[in-house]
Amino acid sequence: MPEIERQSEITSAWLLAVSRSFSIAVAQVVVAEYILEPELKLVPGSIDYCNQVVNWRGEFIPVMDLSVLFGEEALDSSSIAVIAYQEYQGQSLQYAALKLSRGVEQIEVSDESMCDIPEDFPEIMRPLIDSIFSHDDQVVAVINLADLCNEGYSDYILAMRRYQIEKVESAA
Amino acid sequence: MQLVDSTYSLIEFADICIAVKQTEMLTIDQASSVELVTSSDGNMGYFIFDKKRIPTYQLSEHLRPVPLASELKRDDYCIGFKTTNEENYFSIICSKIDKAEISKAITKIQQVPRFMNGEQAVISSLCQYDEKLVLLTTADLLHQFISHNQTEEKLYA
Repeated sequence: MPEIERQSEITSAWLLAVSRSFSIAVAQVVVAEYILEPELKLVPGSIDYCNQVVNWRGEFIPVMDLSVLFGEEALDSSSIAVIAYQEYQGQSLQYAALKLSRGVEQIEVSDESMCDIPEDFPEIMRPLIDSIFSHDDQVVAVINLADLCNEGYSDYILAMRRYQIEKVESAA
Repeated sequence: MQLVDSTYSLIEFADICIAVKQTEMLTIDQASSVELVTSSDGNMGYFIFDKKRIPTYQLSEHLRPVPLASELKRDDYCIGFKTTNEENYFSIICSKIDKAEISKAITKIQQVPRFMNGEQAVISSLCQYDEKLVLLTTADLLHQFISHNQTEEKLYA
């Protein structure tokens, strides 16, 4: 019986540099718009990695800076990618924006490029990972955007920070 | 049909504009009427209203109290508030105050998504008014937030 050659599925995706050292990949249909020099507005009292909004098509949508989540210096406001997500099937599309450290890049992802989560991968991102792959010697995560834009995740971040503070205080 | 939901005061300072219902405000006066007291913690400000000496705060764009300037600007205003339970009185300094009829029927009011909330949420909703972002809050939320962040004021004083 002839052997059937298994074709690896190749998918096109956008590579989004969400910090100076870390990128995520999202499906092409997820990025609604890429905006240069957006006019961002501060919302006081909001969580530090999502404390700005942008007026997009007549609505204010949240803007996230994931570099703040990784403990890196905040990104400037030179570019953002507007992303669409659904928390459940049938929900109308929700929108948010991610600050970027450089322009978006179109890449192709195949099953062969999948890899394991490296040990030094940011702990706070682990609950969001759908899959992970390597691209140009860089580890890139495919993350669940609906989970990122969910209060369960921001509650988790706040709880992690409180735990760290308590740990430091009890050690002192 | 009633179009106007509420009359808000648009309060501008530090490049932001917050809106509070006029019914939650006590009074508006010139900032020059604020009594400044210098202590080891820096300048403290008090505003006399109804024979009560109520604390005055100058707020940053993050709505956190910053040390009061030793001389308040002549053109600035001081706005007094009281909380719903009438237990707390406080006042803030602003550079501009205006009146606005904000209604769900004529202004698109958006809730701040819950995932944006930090430890202490202070802005309940957002809307666009006269082409600027207006942050809707209440005297209760402002008071809670200022009290929560006062430690920081002392740290940086």
